[in-house]
Amino acid sequence: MSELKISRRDFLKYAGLTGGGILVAKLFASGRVSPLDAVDAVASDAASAAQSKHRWAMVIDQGKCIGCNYCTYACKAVNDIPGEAQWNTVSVEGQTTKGPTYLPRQCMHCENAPCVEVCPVKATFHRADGLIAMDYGKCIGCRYCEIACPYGARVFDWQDPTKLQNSYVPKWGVPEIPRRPRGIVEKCTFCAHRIDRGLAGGQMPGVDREATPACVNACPVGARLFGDLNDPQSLVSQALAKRRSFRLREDLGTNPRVYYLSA
Amino acid sequence: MASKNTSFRWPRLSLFGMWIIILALLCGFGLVAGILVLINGLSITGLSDRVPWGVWITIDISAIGLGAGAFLLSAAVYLLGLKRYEPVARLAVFVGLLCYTSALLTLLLDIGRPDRFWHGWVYWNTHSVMWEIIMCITLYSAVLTIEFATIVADHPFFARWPWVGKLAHQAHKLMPVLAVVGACLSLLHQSSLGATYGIIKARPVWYKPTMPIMFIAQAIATSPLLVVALTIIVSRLRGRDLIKKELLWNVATFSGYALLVYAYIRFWDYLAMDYSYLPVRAESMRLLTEGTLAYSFWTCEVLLGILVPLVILFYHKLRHQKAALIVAGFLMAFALIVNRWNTNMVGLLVPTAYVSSVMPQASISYTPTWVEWATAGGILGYWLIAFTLGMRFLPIFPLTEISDKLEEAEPAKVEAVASSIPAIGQAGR
Repeated sequence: MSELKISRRDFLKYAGLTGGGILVAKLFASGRVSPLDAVDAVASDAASAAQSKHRWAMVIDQGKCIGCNYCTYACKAVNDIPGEAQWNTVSVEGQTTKGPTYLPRQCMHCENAPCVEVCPVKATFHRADGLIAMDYGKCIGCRYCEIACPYGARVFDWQDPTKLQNSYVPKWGVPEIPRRPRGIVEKCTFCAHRIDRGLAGGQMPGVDREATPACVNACPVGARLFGDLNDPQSLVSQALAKRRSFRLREDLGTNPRVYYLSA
Repeated sequence: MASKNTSFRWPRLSLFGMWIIILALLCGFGLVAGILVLINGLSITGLSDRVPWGVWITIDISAIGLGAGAFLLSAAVYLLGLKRYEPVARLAVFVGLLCYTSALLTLLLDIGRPDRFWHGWVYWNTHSVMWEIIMCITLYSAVLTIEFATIVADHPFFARWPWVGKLAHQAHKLMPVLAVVGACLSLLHQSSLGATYGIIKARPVWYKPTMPIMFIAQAIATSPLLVVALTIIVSRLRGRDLIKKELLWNVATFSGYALLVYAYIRFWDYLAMDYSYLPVRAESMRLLTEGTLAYSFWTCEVLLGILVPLVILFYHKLRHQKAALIVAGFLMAFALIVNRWNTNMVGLLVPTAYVSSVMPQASISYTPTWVEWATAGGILGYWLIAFTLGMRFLPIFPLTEISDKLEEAEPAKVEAVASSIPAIGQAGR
């Protein structure tokens, strides 16, 4: 028999082996086992058991928003976002008899987040409390998450942020987190550093200013509310119970954590 | 002074030398641009947060598509037992290796952190199509490298080290295994390139199950014919038929039917999309059929990429004309690249709707900067220079060593070689 020949039996053997390999890979996938992430997974599961009692959400009242962009400015200062980039955007959405309506936008911290699904290296992930976070040390800058995000919430560091000026400091606040390096993707964190620090110090995010996202504090007309949806007494739960609300692109099934009260 | 001027003579260059110099300049220019990108980051490209993927992603996904012939022909030879096609498969493997290395080089530029290229191998997100592609193209590049190494080991240069030949002989026994693994990996990632777009629900013009099928169908139709076209050109330059022309015609016929399948899926896919109004999708379709992409869609993709090649491949008088096959092969390869570009742009140039009923009015544009074109030229230069040198110096076509082969080869192979000898006789045309 020629060395190049392959019998049907051999073919089936090899095909079976390959299929088996895929099955093993599938098992790995379902068990969330991967060489370096196994440890992380265990750690975050333990944390989620302790922390999942909160379900953070933001409510934005379009009837109150005057499009002043203070939220954007405070965000740029507190999160130290230099240059043109912004995590929060306010755009004109439409027109009512009273004037234009505005659509402030940021990361929606989706429950079913397309960015988390598509990221090849788990650089963007659900924190134990459900917020979407970035691991700046893992991100390879492929920008697939930017492509997948339905809300245009993600920002790539095209230039080196450390070489840019942040003109919003100190007028709108002082930086509370370090600047990111060039070549990675970043986005709104719901000021997770404030939430974590506040909870550790016995404060309640959404009530105590030090534990509340910068954009909520900066709003001069009180159009933004923040709080825990699991707590029926929280500002967000109360607002959503009283008023009719909607979320962006609910048809996509992403289940965002940012709610809008219609103008 | 004057006498000095007259005595100066430019060194006389052969056509081959000039070709190499032009390609080397192209590579050098691309290399400079590539270094500039690494120094300055992606801010010197035309890319933006609205259009994060552009020229480079087009090169990545089209180069991989054009390399599909390697797994197809390897599977034909080592799995279906079509031994006659081994010379075609050897060239296809070489072409495939060049395509995949081109894609990997471009990817290195395209990611924001080239220093973290290895993260995909270590930090697994098994849910991600992109992760699957990273793993598959890495593994498949390894398969191609092994397959290619067995070809290179045939070179007389390695005769001085007998262990090379022995190792290659052992590796050759692995070919069927490599063919199975290669086919599995290729079928996965060739379609996943389409799925990269096909799973993005936020962009309705992409979000459809036909996306991966169209990508792989076009790759399967195009790549083998490109290999045929390249074979014909190299044969012409060498002055003899390197591969029996009946084999080339058969491959061309296969490509014709595969193109028909692709055209059929494509036709229904696009017709179905035009029939109902869906915000953003309809705007994307308008961009493709009437807007800025209309010319590249109707002329490059439909007319030059599907209709003209179909006529050439199904009209037997044309199919047996070498020039026509070259035209068809290059038109289809060109159309595949244009298709990848259009597919990427049709989704990105139309803004996504944030409120389902409201179509946003923002205008999005993307103009590649010179560094993107220069690096693209550099990649093309690399491909062509490596192909040229490979054709010149590597034993891709084993016919040169027929006399050696006849003695040691097994009966089946002798038959194959013998049957190809008349082809050399007919080489005249």
